[in-house]
Amino acid sequence: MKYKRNILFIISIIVVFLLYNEPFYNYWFYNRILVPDDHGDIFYQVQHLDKEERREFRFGDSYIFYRDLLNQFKEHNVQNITLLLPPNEYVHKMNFDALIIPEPAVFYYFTGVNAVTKSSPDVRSANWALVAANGKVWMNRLRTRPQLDSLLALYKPYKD
Amino acid sequence: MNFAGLLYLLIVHYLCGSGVLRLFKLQLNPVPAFCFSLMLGVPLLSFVPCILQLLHIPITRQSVFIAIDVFTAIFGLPLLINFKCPRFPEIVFPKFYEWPILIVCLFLLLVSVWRCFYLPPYSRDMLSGPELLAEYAVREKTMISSVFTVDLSTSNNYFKSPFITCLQIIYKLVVFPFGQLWLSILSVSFTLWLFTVLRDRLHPVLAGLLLLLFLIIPELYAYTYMVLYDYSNMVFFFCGYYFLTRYVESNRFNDFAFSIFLFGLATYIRTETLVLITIIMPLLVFYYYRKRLPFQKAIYNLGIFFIIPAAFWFLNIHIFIRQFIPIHFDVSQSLNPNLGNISVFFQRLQEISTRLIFSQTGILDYGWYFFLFCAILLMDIIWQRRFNRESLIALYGIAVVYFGLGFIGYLLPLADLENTTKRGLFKALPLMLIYLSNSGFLLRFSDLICKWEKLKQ
Repeated sequence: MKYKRNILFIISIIVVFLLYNEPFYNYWFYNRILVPDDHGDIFYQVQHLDKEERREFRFGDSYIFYRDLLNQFKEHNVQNITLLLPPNEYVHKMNFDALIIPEPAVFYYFTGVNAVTKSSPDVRSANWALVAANGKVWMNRLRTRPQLDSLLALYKPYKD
Repeated sequence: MNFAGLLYLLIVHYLCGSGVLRLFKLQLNPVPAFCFSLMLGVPLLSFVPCILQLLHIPITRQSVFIAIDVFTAIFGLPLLINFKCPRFPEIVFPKFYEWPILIVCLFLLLVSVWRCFYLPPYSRDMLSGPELLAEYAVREKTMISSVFTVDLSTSNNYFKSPFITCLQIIYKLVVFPFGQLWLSILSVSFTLWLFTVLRDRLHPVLAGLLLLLFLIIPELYAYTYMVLYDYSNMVFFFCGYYFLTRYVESNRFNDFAFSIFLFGLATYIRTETLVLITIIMPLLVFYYYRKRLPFQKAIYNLGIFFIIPAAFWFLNIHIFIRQFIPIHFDVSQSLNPNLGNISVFFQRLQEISTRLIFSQTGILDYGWYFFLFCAILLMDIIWQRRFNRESLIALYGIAVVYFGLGFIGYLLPLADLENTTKRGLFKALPLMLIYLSNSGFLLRFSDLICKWEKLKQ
C-alpha cells in the first residue's frame, strides 16, 4: 500500500511539473502569479503597505498627477471647482502618452473634484480647465465665456 | 487593517449563513456546511446598508455594527430555537500524495487573498459605479451622496445591484478602506466546497487535478481578487444549480427551496440571471412529467421557482435602485428595439464559440479548460456512451448558460461580447467541473486507480 501511495505521490509531482511546463500555463504562472517585477512581488509588497503607495502602484502615474493637482487646489484654497478635462486623443496628440484622462466619475473618485468633458451635458458649468500644450500641462481659471468656447472648439475634433 | 473587525465579520457571516441553512433543514456534511455558512453570510449582510438607507438612518460605523448585530440575531434565531451541540467533524487530513497538487492550490489561493487585501479596487466598472458610491456613502453617511452631482453620463454602472456597494461600505467601515476581503471569503469557501464535491466522486489525485485546472483558468482567477459581480454571481448560480440537481436526484423539497433561494441571490447580484432561470424551467417540466407529478403541484413548484428569483429582481430594480439612485431608470430603454431580428441571437451564439471559446482569446482567457472539457465529453460520447443523471443535468446547465448568454446579448444590446458575455461564461465553468466529475471516462479511470491503490501486494 505504502509503495503504491509513494507512486501516486510521484505522479502528483509529475502532474504539477507537466502543468507548470506547459508553455501557456508557464507564461501565465511566471508573469501573472509570481510576477518577477518589483511592484508585483509579494515580498516587495509586504514592505510597502502604505495605502497611498498601493493606490499609486495600482492606478499608475495619472493618479499621482491628479492627486498633486488636488493638492495644488487645496494649497490655494480653491473651492467650488468644475474642471474641464481635455479629450484623451488630444492629450496624446500633445505627446503626453502616459497621462490618461479618466471619465468624470472616476476623476471624482480619485480627487473629489467635479469634472466635465466636452460632451458632458453641463459642460458650460466649467470654471477651471486642465490645459495641455507646448509640452506642459497646467490649470487655467476660466473667467470668461469665450475662454471656454475656444477650448471646446479646440477639443471638438478629438475623441474622449 | 482591523483584524478584530475581520474576525467579527467572519463570525457574523457564519452565524447568518448557519441560521439560513438550519431554516432550510439541509443535510450537509460539516465541511460543506461550514463553507456554505460563510458563502451565504456574504450576500445576506449586504442587505444591511440597504435597510439603513431605506430607514433614513445615517450609515456610520456605529449604526452598521448595531444593524449587523440585529440582523445576525434574526438570522441566528433558527440556530437558537433548534439548538444542537455543534457536530465537530472528524479531521481527515488529505493523504500525503494529495499534497503536491493541494500545495499549489493553496499557494494560488494565498496569492489571491493577498492581492484582494493589498490592491485597491481597480476595474473601470467598479470605479465609476459601486466603489465610487461606497466610498462617498462612507464619507457622507448616506448612499444618496454628492456622487450624483457629477456627470455620470459616461457609464451606467451605478444602476447595478447594491450588492457590491453595500459590502464595500461594510468592509470599508469595519475592516479596511479598500474593502474587498469579502470576495476572498467567497472564493476560498467556494473552492474548498468544490474540492469536497469532487473528492466525493473521484480519486483524490484526480479531484485535486481538476480543482487545479479550474483554479488556473486565468480570467476566472483574476476575478477571485478583482471585485466585480460575475464571480459572486457564478458562485450562487452554480450552488443553486447544484441543489436543483440534488432535488432531481433525491426529490427532497428542502433542496428545491434552497436552490430557489440561491437562484434568488444570484438574481439579486446580476438581474439578467432571471433569463437563465427561466431557461432552466424545462428541466423541471421534464422531471415532473417523468415523475407523473400532479399538474397543480407541478404548476405550484414551477411558479415558486420563478416567482422568488423574480421577487429578488423586483427588490433590486424597483426598490433598491429606485430608492438609492436619484436618476431616472427605465428598464425598457435598455431592451433591443428590434426584437424581430433574431439573427442577432444566432450571431451572438456563433461569436461565443468562435471568438470567446475556440480562439486565441479563448486560450488566453480560459487556458485549456474548454478544450479539456470537450475532449473528455467526446471520449464519453465515442467510447463510454454512458451518462449518469447528474452529468446530463450538468450538460443541460452548460447549454442553459450558452444559449442564455446568447439570448441576453440579443435582448440587451449593452450586454457586449467582450465583457458581459465573456464573464457570463464563468457560470458554465463549475458546471463543466461537475460534468467532468461524473464523466464515464474519468469515473472509470478513478475506479481503476482506487482498486489498484487498495490491491494488496
